[in-house]
Amino acid sequence: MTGPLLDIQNYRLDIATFDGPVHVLKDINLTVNRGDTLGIVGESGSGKTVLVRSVLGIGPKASKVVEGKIAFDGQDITALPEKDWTKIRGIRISMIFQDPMTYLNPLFTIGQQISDVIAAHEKAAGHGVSLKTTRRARTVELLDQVGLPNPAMLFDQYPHQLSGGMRQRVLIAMALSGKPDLLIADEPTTALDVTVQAQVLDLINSLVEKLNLTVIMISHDIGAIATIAKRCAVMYKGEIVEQGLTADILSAPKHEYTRRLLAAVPDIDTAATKVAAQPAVAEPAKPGVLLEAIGLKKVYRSQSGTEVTAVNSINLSVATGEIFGVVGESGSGKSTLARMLLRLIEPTSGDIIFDGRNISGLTGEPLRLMRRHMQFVFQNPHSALNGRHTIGDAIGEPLRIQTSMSRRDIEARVEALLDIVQLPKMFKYRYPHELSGGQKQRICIARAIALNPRLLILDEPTSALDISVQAQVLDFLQELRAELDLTYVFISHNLAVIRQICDRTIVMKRGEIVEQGETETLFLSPQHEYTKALIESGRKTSRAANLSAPAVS
Amino acid sequence: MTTPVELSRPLTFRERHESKIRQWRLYAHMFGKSFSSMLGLGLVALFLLLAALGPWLAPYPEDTVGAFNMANKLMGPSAAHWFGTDEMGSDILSRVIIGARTSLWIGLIITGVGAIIGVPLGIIAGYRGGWVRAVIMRITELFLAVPGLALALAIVAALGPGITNCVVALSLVWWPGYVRLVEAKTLSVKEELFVESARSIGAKTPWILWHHILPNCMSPIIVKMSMDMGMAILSAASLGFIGLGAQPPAPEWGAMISVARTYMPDWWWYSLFPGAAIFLTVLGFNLLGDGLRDILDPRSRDR
Repeated sequence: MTGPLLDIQNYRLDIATFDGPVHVLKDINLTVNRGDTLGIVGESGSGKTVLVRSVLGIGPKASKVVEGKIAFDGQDITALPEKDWTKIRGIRISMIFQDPMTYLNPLFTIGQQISDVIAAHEKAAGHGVSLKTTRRARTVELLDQVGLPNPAMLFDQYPHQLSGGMRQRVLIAMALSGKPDLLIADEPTTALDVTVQAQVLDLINSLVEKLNLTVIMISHDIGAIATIAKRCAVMYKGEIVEQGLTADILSAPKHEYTRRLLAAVPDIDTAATKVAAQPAVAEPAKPGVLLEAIGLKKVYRSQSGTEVTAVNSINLSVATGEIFGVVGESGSGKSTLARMLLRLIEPTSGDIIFDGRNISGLTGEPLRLMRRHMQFVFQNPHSALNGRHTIGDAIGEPLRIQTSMSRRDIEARVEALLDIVQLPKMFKYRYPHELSGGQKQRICIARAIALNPRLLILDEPTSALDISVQAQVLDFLQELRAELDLTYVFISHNLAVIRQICDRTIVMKRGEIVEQGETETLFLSPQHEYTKALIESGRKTSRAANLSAPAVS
Repeated sequence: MTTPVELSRPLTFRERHESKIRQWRLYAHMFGKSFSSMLGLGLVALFLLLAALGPWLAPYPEDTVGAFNMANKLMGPSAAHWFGTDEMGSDILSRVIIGARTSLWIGLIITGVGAIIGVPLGIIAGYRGGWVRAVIMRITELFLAVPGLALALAIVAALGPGITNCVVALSLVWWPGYVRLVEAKTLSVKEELFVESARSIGAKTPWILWHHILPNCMSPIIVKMSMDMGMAILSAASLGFIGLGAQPPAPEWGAMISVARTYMPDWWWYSLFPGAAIFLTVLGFNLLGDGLRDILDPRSRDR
């Protein structure tokens, strides 16, 4: 075997839309040799997913190849008929998808789903389907290979009985079932927790070694790419702007975009520079406590009657003017906590004291009026805005609800707010779907600060955004806080982000605070096992991405 | 980030509503691509035109208010009477044209009343949940369990035949469908983040229902109303056919067929043309509804 395994030449792809054709891929040249590990980095909308889907012949429907070709193992697969694809898909090339929750059928057992895939491959290959027991043995072997404990028992379990990380492993096992030459991983770790992310990356690495796999991995997370891929391509607006050895690109990025991208990656091992000075100096006059929670608890009762404690007796106090971080993995109860602090969810027991006033017993009108002082910024800006309202309506809504300002005054205030969040005034006539994620999040922030609140609770405000946008939004949030004299409660699973902006931080696990203190102290000398594990896994990808700037701490 | 140049002059209408204009152009484009949708739209437009301009279009308007001309009775289609004449010598074309207005009126009232009763109930049931929802939904199911037409028959039988009673009866059985539809939609919309976001800025429940839930329920409601127009017209015609709706000699399509039945098959034109009118109208509204669903519901959309 001499030629490259995958050879993409001058590939151009258009997608026909109502507004005319969109050039999704422009002049892509890419070769992957046997045994290579190639990473493709890019923001959402850069065309990276469309590219690998084209390799698998499952590109978007209205697309048209304008020029160029894709050759797999010497065979031109640009315009392959559907019948021939069955001999390639899943057998020669297979794919791992981003969200392990939705790619497994909840009605069938894990074992059956993998066995079916094996059977399908055997059928496609032309020789008869093997016996059920043989397939079972093969499935168990595969499950074992991806490091799942007790594979024989797992065979008969259903997807909902597994955690996210285990499901991703099952999907990897499924992808490996056809003994593919080429494995494509589309954001395989994005939907997972930090600690699990690290494990899955390790697994892919070990599989590459063991099975001599050729891997193409897509991610927006340059850290994840750096851990796996030896070679790397950076995509921007449908073009590959730079490709080469990962180490070279990280240490000496040539293209301007790559440089920007690298600069935007927050580093877990760097102490924050901007924030530390501000809060203590800026407001010596009122060192008071703004928000306090005492013995806050939330118990959910499931339909079968069992009780689940989402948040268990949490005490915390947030000082005026600080940025208070809350870290934890999914399921640790941080979102529930945030919503309880705002009384969006009723706590089972406990008190919330805001500015010296117990708000846990408020109902009706007093509660409604109190809401103007504390606002929420949601994780997902795409669904936090009503798609049927214009941006102007969305920002003006709190003013219309909480104040008796005239329509004209509201218009003026909306324009002023758009100015504050650095967006053009024209935007008030636009609809949310016309805006990018970062712009939408700015709109959400504008909406939240419309009433001049004193406290903002930010629930993972950047996790749905691209890294470069994340950096912009974080900077912007800090500027805003200084300007408007705000206090933040900042919730995130991303430790590097927390370290960058938070003054004090609590670490949550299973509804309880396992550790709290000054953010710096927490990162430099974590006391609790869990905190150490979190930081260690976060460091793994972060360090890989920051090869260029070694040994800061 | 591309920041457009800030303009000092006030924006023109076109600039301010650019997004909306684009959206409507997209709808028009998608709708226009589908032959069946356009056919539906054409049929409905024709029907509306007949309803609006009926008295001026009908060649023998006096025939629709009871004038008779026994010399001309039961004549086949001819140049003078395109659709032939009935047993009283009245021009069937005129009667069919005038009948469009009755049918439109019936369809609008029935679907309108159905939606006015059903949509608020559905939204309240979906948003409030708990026992409120249980009560509303159980009553709705009670109505759904009885076939609508049979229930309407019973109501008309109790109130006495006549077109008004027929509309009242059909309106009373028409709303449960809307409760079901809107409740289901509300259940999914109320879990959206923007509803929680509105709550967090202190919006009251009526505000949320009116500004957030209702606009997001509108597409299925519009689709259902357009399809229901056809079904309501058909149901009213059915009641007319069995003698419980409009009474002859009122120019209502169902009632006309009811009389024409005894003249089958020798005087075929008498029942054919009113029947065709019903058929085309119902078909038109159904195709229109289908077309609307295709453009309004992003899931069934074939990008």
